[in-house]
Amino acid sequence: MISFDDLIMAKARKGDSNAWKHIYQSCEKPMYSLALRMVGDKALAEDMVQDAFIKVMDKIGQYRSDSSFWWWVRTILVNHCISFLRKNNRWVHQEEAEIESRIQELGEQPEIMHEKQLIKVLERLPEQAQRVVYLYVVEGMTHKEIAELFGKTQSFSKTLLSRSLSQLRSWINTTH
Amino acid sequence: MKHQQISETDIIELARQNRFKDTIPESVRASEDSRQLYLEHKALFETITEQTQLAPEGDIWQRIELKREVAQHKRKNRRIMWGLSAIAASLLMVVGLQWNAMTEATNLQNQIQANILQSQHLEKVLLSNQSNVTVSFATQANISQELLEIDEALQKAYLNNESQQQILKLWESRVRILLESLTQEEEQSDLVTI
Repeated sequence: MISFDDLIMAKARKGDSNAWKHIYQSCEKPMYSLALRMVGDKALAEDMVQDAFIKVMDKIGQYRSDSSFWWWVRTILVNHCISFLRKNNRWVHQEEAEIESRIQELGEQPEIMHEKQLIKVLERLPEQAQRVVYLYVVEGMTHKEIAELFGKTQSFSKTLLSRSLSQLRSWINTTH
Repeated sequence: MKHQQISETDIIELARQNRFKDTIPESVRASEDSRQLYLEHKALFETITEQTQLAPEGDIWQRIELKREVAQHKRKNRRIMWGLSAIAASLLMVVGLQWNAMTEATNLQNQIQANILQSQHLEKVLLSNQSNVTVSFATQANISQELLEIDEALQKAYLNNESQQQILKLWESRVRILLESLTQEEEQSDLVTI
């Protein structure tokens, strides 16, 4: 959980560059990792982090100290990524059945068994499925929160997660 | 002892919450199947978390600092230029008042008027350019300072009823500074990229 003491935050609110650098360094890896799962491209993920963190700095006056700083930063970052993907027609609206079908097909691809790393198998999942898995497992978002983000039902989030985890577990059991 | 059935959804959620902890909650110990499912998911989630945490390759903080510095400088320059425009506008009011007091137009007055119009036009171009172009910060600050000084001199000249020739000289200086500024912007915009 990322959090900062009152002194750092007070300095950051006053525009102290060193305080901001300290905050950024703590947020960089989780921000980049999340952005990468959302947009699927390293260079683009770096741009997302850059733009989102500038928004964090510009909007620090709106941050309430009684709420989680990481939750606030993450909201800005995720919204920024989704906005970008929508503008560039990359926020694909696939039907749940179609995504499930693609997940199912993954298990039928023999080359999957040659993948050495779980991350490579994860990256073969449909983009929306990857995002659901990451947001649930790593970010600890609830199905309700994920559903709101995607403009879908909680059932969508639960089903996608269940199907994806099933494939990932199947890969682990077969190869290890 | 009765064992409470725990759903797969709840087992998965417990496995997620207990990533990297040596914890097997009481509720999943109820059956060997629950326990096995819990441990499998916990291991899976730990691997997903470990393998997805990556650091960027580029120096993003440096890019953030540079972008903020450029944005702040542009905002400062816009404030200075708007300030200068306000002074120029008040100058025009003074000029207008004095013009009405003249009984006939003179050559000097025509030249002053021409310089005032050219100055207004160049300022508009400069303001419009500054939203698109990144140029040397020191250069822009110097030019803004020069304009400020000229405008203060012009205000004094009008208020103290100085000679038309003196006033013309000051307006010509103002136009010259704006022209130099535009020329420098064009030269430097080719050199700087972000």
